[in-house]
Amino acid sequence: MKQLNLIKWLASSFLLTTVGLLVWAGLNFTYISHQIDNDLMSLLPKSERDTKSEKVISRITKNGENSLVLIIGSENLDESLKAEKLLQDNFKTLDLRQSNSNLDLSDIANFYLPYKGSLLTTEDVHQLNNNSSKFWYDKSLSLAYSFSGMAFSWKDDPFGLLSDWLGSLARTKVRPYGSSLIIEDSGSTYVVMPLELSNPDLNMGQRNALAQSIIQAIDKTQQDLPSIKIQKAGVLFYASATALKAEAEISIIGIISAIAALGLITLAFRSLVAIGAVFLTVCIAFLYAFLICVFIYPKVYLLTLAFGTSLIGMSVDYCLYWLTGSIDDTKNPDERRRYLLPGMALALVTTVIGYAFLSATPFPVLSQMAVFSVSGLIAAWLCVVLFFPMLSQVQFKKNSFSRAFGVIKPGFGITNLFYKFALSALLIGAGVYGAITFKGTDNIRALASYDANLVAEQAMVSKLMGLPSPAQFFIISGNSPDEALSATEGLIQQLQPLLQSHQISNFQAISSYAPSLETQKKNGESYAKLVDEKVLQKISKTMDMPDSWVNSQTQPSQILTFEEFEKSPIFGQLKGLWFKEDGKYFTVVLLSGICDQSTIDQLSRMGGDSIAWVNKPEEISGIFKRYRTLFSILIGLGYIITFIGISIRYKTEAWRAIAPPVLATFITIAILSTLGEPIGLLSILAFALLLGVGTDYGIFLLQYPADDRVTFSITIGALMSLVSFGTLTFSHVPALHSFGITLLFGISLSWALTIFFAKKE
Amino acid sequence: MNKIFLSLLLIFSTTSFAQDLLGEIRQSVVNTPAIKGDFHQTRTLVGVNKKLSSEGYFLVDKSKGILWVTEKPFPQTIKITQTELQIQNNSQVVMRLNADSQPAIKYINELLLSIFSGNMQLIEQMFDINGQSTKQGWSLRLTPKRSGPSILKTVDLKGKTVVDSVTFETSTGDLTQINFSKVKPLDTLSPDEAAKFN
Repeated sequence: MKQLNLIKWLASSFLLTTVGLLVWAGLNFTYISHQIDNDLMSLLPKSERDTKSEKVISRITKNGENSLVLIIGSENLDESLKAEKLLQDNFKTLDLRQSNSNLDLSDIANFYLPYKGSLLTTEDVHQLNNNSSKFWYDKSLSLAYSFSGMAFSWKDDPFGLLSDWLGSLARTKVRPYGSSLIIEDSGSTYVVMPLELSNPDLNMGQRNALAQSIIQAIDKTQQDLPSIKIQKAGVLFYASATALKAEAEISIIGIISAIAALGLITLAFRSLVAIGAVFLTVCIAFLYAFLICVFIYPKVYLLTLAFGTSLIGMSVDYCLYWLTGSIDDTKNPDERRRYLLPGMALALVTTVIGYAFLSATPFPVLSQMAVFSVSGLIAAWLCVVLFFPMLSQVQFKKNSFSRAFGVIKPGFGITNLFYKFALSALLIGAGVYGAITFKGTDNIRALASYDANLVAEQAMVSKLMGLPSPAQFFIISGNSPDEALSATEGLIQQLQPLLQSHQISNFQAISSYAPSLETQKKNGESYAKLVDEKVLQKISKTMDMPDSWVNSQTQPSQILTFEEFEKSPIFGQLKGLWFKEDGKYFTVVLLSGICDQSTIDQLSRMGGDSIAWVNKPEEISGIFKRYRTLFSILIGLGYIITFIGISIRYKTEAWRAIAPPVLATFITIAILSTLGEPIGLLSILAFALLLGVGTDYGIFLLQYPADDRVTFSITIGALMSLVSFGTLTFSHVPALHSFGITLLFGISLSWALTIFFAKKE
Repeated sequence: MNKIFLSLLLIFSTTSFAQDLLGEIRQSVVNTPAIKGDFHQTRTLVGVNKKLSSEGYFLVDKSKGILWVTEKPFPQTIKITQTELQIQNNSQVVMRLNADSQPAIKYINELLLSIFSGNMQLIEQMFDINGQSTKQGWSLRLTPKRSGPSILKTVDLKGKTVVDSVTFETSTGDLTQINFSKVKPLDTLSPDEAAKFN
């Protein structure tokens, strides 16, 4: 009696909580709908150690978030320019503007002018050290008489040295053409449109809408001018494409799962009450799953929802255990609950253990998926255990559908011992083959893939524009700004051969804009030659200059200190390449046009104590590999612990629950390898889930060996899981696809093997 | 509001005005693939008292570039092509800028080519235009369209069937005045002349 009261109390509190949550969700609907996030970075693991590289990457992405580039190409430059005009007209109504460097050339020139003897190109240093004073006299006069303009007036830069140095900073391939910008590359001319969001605070929805408007404008322009080709690059497009695809996938996967689930329930029970009960359970499961994520996490990822559609199948499983249990059953609901509770409790525990693996990863999205699923499953389970007994008046009869499943009997009716052994040997052989051929892949692409066209366009634009790689760079440290700059110059020396052999196309380093004190001192010494050799006096005479001019030109070169440079407008543009942490100074060297893996290997060997090479994709692959190995071991341990647990209750029969999922795991590996499917961390996580789900089937068959309704139940349950996880197979997100296809084979095999190895009465 | 309206009106009126003007000039300027002629140049540099006068000849080949040969006060050749800008003095190269490493060289080439060849279409592409045209000839004031890293502030062009004079003012304030004489529009340069571009 006491127990019944407890259940009543539990049921009413669960009901109250559910109603409460529902009301809260209704009242806060707008808030909730804003909590959905399609952040791409959520797929990447939280960095375990290197906060500096994280900082750099997040800065680069932050910078990139609000800017985009369009490149217009055609046989005819005039057509491209026309397209640019059309696009500009189309963009007028959008939150978009031309991104201009707000630095004025004369501001830059004025800033550097006092330091002219200290700022020299290597070529000019070479010429200063080797050429005669006659050369410099001639050069100065040539510059005075020629009409080629300079950033400086002749009197300030009579040898054009500072002009050379400034020119060496502007290594961009982009150049002006009238009011437009163009790039010339291997015989083709492209019009470049660098754009930025005029309102950086747009939310995800607004960003997606903006991306769509831009794409529409591009399509329209391309229709009007069929000979042109517009390529686009920018985080905005990736984010929007991912969001749209994920949204479409969630709907499709969700609808297929739901229809399949309702279809199976309809066929099995032919009862509106059953359909209603299942439907409500699924809804409650989603309510809890989603709201608990909203409460725990600042944002709910779209991918969590995509994965979460599999919750439909999982929660229907629990309903099935109850509903099939009530077919032709004469027990009263409380008795039935007592009868089913041990099996259902064990099933829930093992499944939750499976999901716990997901939550232990450093991948934010995976741990959120786990929380989502576990919350939903517990809610569904409570729903079944607490409310389903109230449906006491509903009685189900065996029908033609459920009878048809009656042919599925333990052992599949194979009685011939020879066949049985032969088949077992074959299965074990396949498993062993899987174990032997197992080869893991840890490619970063296993997490997310993007539209191939988008990737191609981005690569093309990056190559044309010489955009630096956001994931591979150097971080240089020093105890003082100058130490960091010196080390950077050392690294740049090492990069020169790679530049010459076109293994990299360019680099970006702050030391180009503010050389180290030592370099400046050396430059000053070379420049002093001009002062020593009285060239200036000779020029002054020829050019009829005032005496004060020679005097001003022969002053010793001023040194540009980093403190001074930090105040300049140029530093403002380069701030992303510089930071200070724990009293140390760090600077970043970005690289463009890294040509191949062997270059990456060469780069990774460069440097010294203060130079660190960061290769994010490789680092992530490393994390993948470590977790893949770790989880493989944990799954093994999980099976051992489950085996011990089940053995306590079922003694020597325990292997019947454990062997099927283990064998299913290895045979799945064999199948996936044969299909050429990569087996990465996500597949391993799917195997972890299989440990939870697969052992359920065995536990149920061991718990209720005489009950053929249980065979029916786990069959329908397996079908349901197949549908819900199987639909994930069709996902374009590799992470979900990998998870789906592994479970598709894993669950089918696990179900079949459980029945094959089940004890016959 | 009135101000906006007024400036809009101005923009539109100058645009249509520029179109008419350019059309007229295009009619009168001889458009040939090559031009040669003599020049007399005077430079007035900021902070330099001496007026720098020089004389020589020039060759323009629209497909190749510009050759600017100074004979007085000292021999000097400036060659501006698609690939480089080079200043040669007494058989010694004193300056060479490569368009591969500094694509802005091509921009300079285009600016100057449009001016020296009187290519109105290219001029329209590169500059905002103001000016007038009478029976005696035309005069134009050009301002580069992109203020970015521009080296030119304004360019004044005068001419009739060919460009007679050009005045550049750079953003640093230096003034260069060039008067042309014996300007000959050509179909091609002579092989000797063309060879100088190599």
